[in-house]
Amino acid sequence: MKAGGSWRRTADRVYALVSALLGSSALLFLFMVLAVLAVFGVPSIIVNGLNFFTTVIWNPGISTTLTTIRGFPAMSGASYGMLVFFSGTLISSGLALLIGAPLSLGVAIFLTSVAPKRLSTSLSFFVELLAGIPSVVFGFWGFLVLAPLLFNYVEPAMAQYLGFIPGVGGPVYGYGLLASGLVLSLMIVPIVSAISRDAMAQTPVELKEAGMALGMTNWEITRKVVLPYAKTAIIGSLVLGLGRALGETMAVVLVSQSALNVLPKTLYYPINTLSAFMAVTFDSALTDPSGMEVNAIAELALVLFIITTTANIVARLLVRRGFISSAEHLVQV
Amino acid sequence: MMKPEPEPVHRVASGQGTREREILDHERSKGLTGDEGGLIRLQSLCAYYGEQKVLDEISLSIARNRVTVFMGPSGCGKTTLLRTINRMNDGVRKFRVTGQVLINGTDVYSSEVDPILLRTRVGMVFQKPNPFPISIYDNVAFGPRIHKLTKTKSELDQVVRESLEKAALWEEVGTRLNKSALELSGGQQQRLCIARALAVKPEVILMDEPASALDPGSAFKVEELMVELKENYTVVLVTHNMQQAARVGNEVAFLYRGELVEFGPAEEVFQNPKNALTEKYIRGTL
Repeated sequence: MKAGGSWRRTADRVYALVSALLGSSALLFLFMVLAVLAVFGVPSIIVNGLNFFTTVIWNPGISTTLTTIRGFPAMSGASYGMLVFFSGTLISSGLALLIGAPLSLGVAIFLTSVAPKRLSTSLSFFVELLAGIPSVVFGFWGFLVLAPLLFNYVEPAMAQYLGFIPGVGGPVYGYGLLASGLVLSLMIVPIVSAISRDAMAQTPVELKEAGMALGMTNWEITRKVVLPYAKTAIIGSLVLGLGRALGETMAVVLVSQSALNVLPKTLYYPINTLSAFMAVTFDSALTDPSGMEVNAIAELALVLFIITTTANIVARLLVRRGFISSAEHLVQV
Repeated sequence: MMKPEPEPVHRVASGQGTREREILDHERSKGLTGDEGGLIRLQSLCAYYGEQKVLDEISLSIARNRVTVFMGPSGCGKTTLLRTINRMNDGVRKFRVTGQVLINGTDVYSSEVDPILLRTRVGMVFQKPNPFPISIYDNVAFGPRIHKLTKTKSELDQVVRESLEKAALWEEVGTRLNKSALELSGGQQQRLCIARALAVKPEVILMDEPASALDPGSAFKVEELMVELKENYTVVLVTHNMQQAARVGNEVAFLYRGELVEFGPAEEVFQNPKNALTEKYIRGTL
């Protein structure tokens, strides 16, 4: 019995140690990634300086002439500016949010306030299923169906009839900003609508009945009671969706037409994003004898990391605060 | 069962004059005079959740400017009965009603009645105080704003003030209307909910155990308020608190397992119940 007891205590210690190791591994991986980005990024940060953030041209230079800039090797004529990718990331994600937000809210409102319970349950399942579709499949659909559709029908009509709006006129391309924004918007619908729906469903039935007893219509109850109640969580879900759009790679690679050295001037322009460009360029960057292009890509990764992490932190804070304040409210009532 | 003899009172609530007249005209057109038939008449009312019958052939008449109490043990159907009057159970799945709920002679379940408009004439106060998580002022102004009852800010201010005064809350909150309603005590929140209901200028106020979640002091204030409110409104109260029913009720209906066992003037029901079940319930032996 005694021996058994000490064995059990040992096992318990091993259990604590192993779970601590496994538990902290997430943090370890995070720092490993950050460390690699920093080590690889530093030469680019020193060589390119502020130009990295302010210039449009991305050019690895003449691949036969090696020089040294501020102590680091680089090809002669090399210029690394992230503005095309940075702006493409922000604009396409912003567009995705612009299109995706009303769509997601519509879905959430329908699921919580309009659809009968049984339909709502099954429909919720399909909406969540949408979240599980690999992004390359979205991209594939965008490439085969959406972009040609935009090019042949939608964009010409928009350019013709809405061309007076700045950025909506001009030549159309099909593959580009609009296609990217649309595909991204579809990809954020599941996450935004699922979180919004959960928050809206938490509206206390007492408040909805209060509205009903005052002679409010269903729409008025949704607009004046449910949406204000779930506001914080909805905003949080939108930022979370934005986070997903910002980091999305494959779908954008397939429908953006991978612009280089040119900023988008209309809704139809070819664009590029930080993640899409990194994925597509890495292979050729490895052939840069100076290695500077890999360093510059690491700096791009660092920028993307900061953008998406910030968006995620903001979103999580908002989502959590939304739910906590609603819980407090329940206690008070 | 005796039908209560309603008092021949035609008190016209401020701001309700025209509506009162409309009601009277309507009554006359139905061949009724005054309150003879009661403001609200339930006729052979049955209610079902799916196959389950929860109200069985209820017929009774609720007089104007009185407090009518529905009492009975839990699950007797009193809340369901109350909620049929303003059609609050419309959205409940598989809920259906047969028979009639007549208000001023019009069946509220007839196709010509819009439940939204019905609920502006028949207000409701719930068991749990349920103010919106916004300011005191905005809570009271909520209904008038939705229904565009006022044209100017000062008019709205006036409605808010009057409603709070009628709910005996103005003295306590008049100086802090912009504070959150959630900062109020439970009793104050409940009176705020009453003020919010009054602001839409209803004729009838349905109260579903409005004092049961409150401390005794607050409950007493709400009870006092019910008695005051009947001056201008018709109050229908659901309670399982017999003392409360005796204190505030003019007429009392005793329900048991979905059936109306006894209905009559409060004194009679409590002092001289006709039905053995009622007597048992009052003695606390049911």
